[in-house]
Amino acid sequence: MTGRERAAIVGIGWSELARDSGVGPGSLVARAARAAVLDSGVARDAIDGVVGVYGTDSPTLWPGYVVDALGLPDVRWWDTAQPPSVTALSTAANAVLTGNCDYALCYHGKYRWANTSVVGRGDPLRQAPAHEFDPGLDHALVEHGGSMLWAARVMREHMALHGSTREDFARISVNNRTNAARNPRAVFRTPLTVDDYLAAPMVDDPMCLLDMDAPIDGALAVVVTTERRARDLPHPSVLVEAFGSALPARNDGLLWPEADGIAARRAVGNLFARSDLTPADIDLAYPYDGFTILAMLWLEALYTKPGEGPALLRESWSDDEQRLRLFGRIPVCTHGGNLSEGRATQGFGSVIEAVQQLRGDAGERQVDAARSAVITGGMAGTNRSTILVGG
Amino acid sequence: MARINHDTIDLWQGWQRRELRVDRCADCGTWVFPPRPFCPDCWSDTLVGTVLTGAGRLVSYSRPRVAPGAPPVVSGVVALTEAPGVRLLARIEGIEPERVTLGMQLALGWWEDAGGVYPQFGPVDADQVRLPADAARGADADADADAAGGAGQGAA
Ligand SMILES: [Zn+2]
Repeated sequence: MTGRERAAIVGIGWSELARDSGVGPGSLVARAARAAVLDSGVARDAIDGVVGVYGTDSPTLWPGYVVDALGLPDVRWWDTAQPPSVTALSTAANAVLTGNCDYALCYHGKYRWANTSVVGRGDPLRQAPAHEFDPGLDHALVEHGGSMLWAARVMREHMALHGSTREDFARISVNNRTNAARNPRAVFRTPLTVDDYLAAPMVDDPMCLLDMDAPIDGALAVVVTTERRARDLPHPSVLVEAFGSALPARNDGLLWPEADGIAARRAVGNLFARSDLTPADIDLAYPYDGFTILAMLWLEALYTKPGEGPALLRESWSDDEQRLRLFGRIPVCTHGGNLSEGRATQGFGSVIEAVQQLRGDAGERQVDAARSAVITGGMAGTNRSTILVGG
Repeated sequence: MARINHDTIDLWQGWQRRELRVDRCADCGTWVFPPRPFCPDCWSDTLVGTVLTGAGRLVSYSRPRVAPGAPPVVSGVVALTEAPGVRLLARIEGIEPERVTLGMQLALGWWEDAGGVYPQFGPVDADQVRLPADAARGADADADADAAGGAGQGAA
């Protein structure tokens, strides 16, 4: 869109993503943040805004920690956001566009908390930093009926109402793993087949192990400034074209399995209302894939009517490549998504990957002539949001 | 073990008496659940606790992994037919997991552990078999009822 200044992502960085990093959550975030600042070419002392993820089910860090860890001398704006962190990126974009700061550091970090992994339970040092959000993600009521995996019930409903099959969800899982084989950041890089998926153990029937991301330690960060300032920096600008979110009533996914699909569709509508582009114009698609059912719902919100995602996946599947090409063209999760990079990334890995692709800097994963990407983030219980970036 | 706070203690104490009480707005009739400070539809503060029989319909369910040898668990979302727009999370008992279907009619029961008494649901008619088409119609009807209930928003 012309006529309005946009924000630009000018630096990206990440820590190691690992099953067990052996360091504290602060170290991960600090390493990712330092890497992003170094990549941006912005002087450390010029970073005057910090926004990051602070909340939900894992110890995360408030911006004050990052300010101290990086020795940022003159931060004049800061804010926090819930994961997935697409909203943190939009908050950073708003801050530089309104002049609250000039160069915003935006980070996402996650750590395997005692109640999210066996290793976490066995390690007494895995404790929340001070001022932590309630990590339990317990339902506000009292009893969870045996399963907190609301997404399994979303999946069940989709299968019953729309006829989606385990093979359909397998295509998402296999696609992402195929792509991850070429992503050195990814934790899970061994190729999978549909048969592997079908043989995977059930965790919360109909959801199996390969429908879910796995807890991982890690952090990711970007530096955001205005389009005008970005011209003086070393990398080609990747612009934030538009942002859209949605928080409909009845958003508690534990009680309302339909909430994810409704919110996804609204967020996508809000996103494209703010751009001249349409979903079919976009070169790269990054549907949030913390659970395969969420990727299904985001793909439906982007490209089909409700319930038609399975048909899209069947038509888009390449047996030769073992991956998806929507409409014969658009690759999905070129980095392998959360399913491959792990639950440290919570969708922020898509931001890093999209920036690399649009810079032309994605190595052997590079998609020719990729000029735009749509990233969706979120699920019931946390924010559902979307962002569109372009070169 | 239950997590109880100031806003849910009354509900919890009702469960300990095996009583399912749901608030209803005295001014506009909206059912309000989980417990809220006031009616989310008309903002009236006048909420009246109403004891329900607990007739329900299964919206969706999953079967979480359990320890080897432990009995299977069916974890369900149950829409209460007496209170449009109100749903509970609860275990589905008294039916083989393979026979559970979306849309099936359910009746309220209770189970108990060292921590307290909790609602559960079981089939009204153990021989009942529903076709998927019935389940789909049931879900649509519920969505309509929720929208009519006021606080819900329709599909985008
Ligand atoms: Zn009212």
